[in-house]
Amino acid sequence: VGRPALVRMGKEVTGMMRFRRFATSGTYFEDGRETVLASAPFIAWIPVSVVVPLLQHEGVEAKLAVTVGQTVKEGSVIGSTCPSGVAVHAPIPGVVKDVRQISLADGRVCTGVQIDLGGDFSFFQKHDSTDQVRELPANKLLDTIRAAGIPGDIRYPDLADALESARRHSVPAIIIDVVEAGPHNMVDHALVAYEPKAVSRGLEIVRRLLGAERVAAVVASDYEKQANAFLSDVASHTSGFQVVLASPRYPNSDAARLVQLATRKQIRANEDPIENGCIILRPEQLFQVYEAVDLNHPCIETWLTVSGPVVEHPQVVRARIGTPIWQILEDIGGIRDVPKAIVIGDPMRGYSTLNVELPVTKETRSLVLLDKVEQGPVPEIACIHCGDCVKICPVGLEPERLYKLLSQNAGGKARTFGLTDCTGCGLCSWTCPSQIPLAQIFRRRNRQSRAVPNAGDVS
Amino acid sequence: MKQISTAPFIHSGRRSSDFPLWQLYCLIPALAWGVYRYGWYALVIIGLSLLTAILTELVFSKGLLKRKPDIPSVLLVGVLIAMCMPPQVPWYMVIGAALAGVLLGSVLLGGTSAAWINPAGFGLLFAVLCWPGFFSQSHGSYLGSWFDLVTKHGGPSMGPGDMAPIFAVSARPDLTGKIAMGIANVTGLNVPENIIASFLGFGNGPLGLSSPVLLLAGSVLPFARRLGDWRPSLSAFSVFAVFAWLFGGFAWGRGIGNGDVLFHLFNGPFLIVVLFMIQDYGSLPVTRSGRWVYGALTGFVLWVVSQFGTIEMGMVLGLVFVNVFSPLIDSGLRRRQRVVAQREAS
Repeated sequence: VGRPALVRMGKEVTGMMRFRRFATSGTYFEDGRETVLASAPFIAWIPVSVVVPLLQHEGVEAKLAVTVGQTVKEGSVIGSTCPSGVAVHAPIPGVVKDVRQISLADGRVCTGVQIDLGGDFSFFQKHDSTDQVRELPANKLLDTIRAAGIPGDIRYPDLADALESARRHSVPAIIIDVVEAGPHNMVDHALVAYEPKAVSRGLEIVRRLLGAERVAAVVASDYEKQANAFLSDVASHTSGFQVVLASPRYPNSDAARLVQLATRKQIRANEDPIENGCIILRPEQLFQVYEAVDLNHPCIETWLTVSGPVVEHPQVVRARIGTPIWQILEDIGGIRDVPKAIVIGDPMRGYSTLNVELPVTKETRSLVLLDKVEQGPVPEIACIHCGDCVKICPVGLEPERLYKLLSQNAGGKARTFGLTDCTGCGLCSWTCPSQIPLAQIFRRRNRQSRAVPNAGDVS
Repeated sequence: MKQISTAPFIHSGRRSSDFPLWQLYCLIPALAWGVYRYGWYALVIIGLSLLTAILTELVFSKGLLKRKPDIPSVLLVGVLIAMCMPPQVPWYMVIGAALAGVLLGSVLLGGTSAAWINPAGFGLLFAVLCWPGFFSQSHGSYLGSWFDLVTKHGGPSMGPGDMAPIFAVSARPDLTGKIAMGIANVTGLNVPENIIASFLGFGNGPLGLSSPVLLLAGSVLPFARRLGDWRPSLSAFSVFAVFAWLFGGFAWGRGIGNGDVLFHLFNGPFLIVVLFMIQDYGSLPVTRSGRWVYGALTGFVLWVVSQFGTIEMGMVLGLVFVNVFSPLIDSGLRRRQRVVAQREAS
């Protein structure tokens, strides 16, 4: 596995330690972030009806806790927490109209709860101040965060599980990820710019919970100015706070890359950062922790970027979970043209759909409406050995070599060349001039090998 | 029609055909200069080479092997073969070289993308082997080195270049004189006028390589558009320059560190190999480090050819020789990387 070069460009002390570190692999995407972030996040209209999936993350779906015809309050539990599952709450008050199987954008099928609006709001416009501070003991804090149903990541579907694991491992460092997770994914940037105090307060809560000694924020270097209010606020109550200014290259937001940028420690892409002494948190998670602890407000809203060439007014939107895509598009001023694909998630790793009835979930961080799909499902011509995929791979793999091995059904050998280290960032497919769907093949093979180890090997 | 695909949904916009096409565009000025200098027969050579290359690809690749023909790449092969030919080459030798280059150097090795040898270089090698009589004579377009051109102006003869060239230097003396004076004023160097004339394109050279300045100018665009990899070119250029500087003076009795670097570097055959033919992805190693090593090896081999080579088309054949080591370089470096990765993992 290769090692992206890091260059330390100097430091400056202004209440916090500032470093400049640049990873050389990866690439920069022009996604119109200046336009999107110029305006404050838009709060979408309350929908008259929502369909809330009980599976909104990796892991298993929550246990259904309501019946058809039942009246629910805003924020009451409709899917209770279970191992590898996250609690789901009613995003709007009303009556449970239907419980049925629904398809998600990624093809998974789960239980969906339809709620029709009715009754009083418990949270809406009632706790809009950051002055309210609740100091809870550590175990109570963890229970509160778990009850709020805040999603974690692929290893820990529930953020509370990640925090619990971090406490168990006495993790000494917290890394805040203020690097764009992918093109058209600007939620974390918007939160840091427009809700700096809330995010900072969330960080304070988590730091107290974990007893972490160090906090480092990895910030995209082109976003330093907008993040300044947040960084200063954190620096005011956090000793030894480090800011790492990283090049705004995709995929700097990957766990291994963030750990390397923040701590200069090299971990493998499939390793757990918590077991390596640090926990990575996104501003959105910190904001949700703040809402859960200080405002006693469960996770019933999601922040997402709505952008793409056919969107009239691209911006960051705060919407109730379960709101259909069409309503969000209508709320922000509509679209210019019929999109060729609506990508849920970013265009490098997301899923495409043309079904505008699909609801947004806790994990929906962007909706990108494309006027063309540039990447075909089959290669245009054979590999020309240009080496562009090798140059761009952020983990230092040789995608053309892996592709050749997998074409020869030599999956075992491909694994020794680091196939399982592939993070699925999609850059190899993006850059391939022969349009070979490299990342798609690697993702599929990695999924297969997780399900059936040694599948497809010729020995 | 709706297309089902998975992420990524966006693409960098680069296409495989961009590489050969841009190289072709950039070779046009040098090629046009060759036609201007050598007349209508140059056009016949270019036409025959292109036609043979395209027909071979269509008949064998598309017709027999049912593969998608790679026309931009074979166009480039045809142009490169024509450019490297002496201007008075018989027509059947051009056809033979283009046919062998595309068929044996590309189609039978799995296509232009899979061939581990430079197809144009292989075609020229085939011509040298089939008609050694013709290619062992000098035609005033010796594809050896600048060194041989310099030998004609007083130095000791090292190869077959002692035969008189059929095309004499025909630059306007007032122009070259002014340039020589300008260089002398700015740098203090006395550059002979015939050297300047040859650099500008008034000297001897194969059909498309008589103007180093046009080749040099043409190579800028693909690099600027990031269509080629500058690593092997820079590596070959540097190693060649270092060797030329260190040992180039021996032949003149000047000792170590007194070689005429610029004179060795800026000649058509060297430039076409180092700036264009070395960029053939099929024969380049894939890894970055592999490309540096490959370039360095090419630079060294080209210097050896330029110093001691006695055969026609020495530079191109030097590159074909290095092609043989390309898979070895790649697998050697990859093996090393794997060992390091396994050591780190354990």
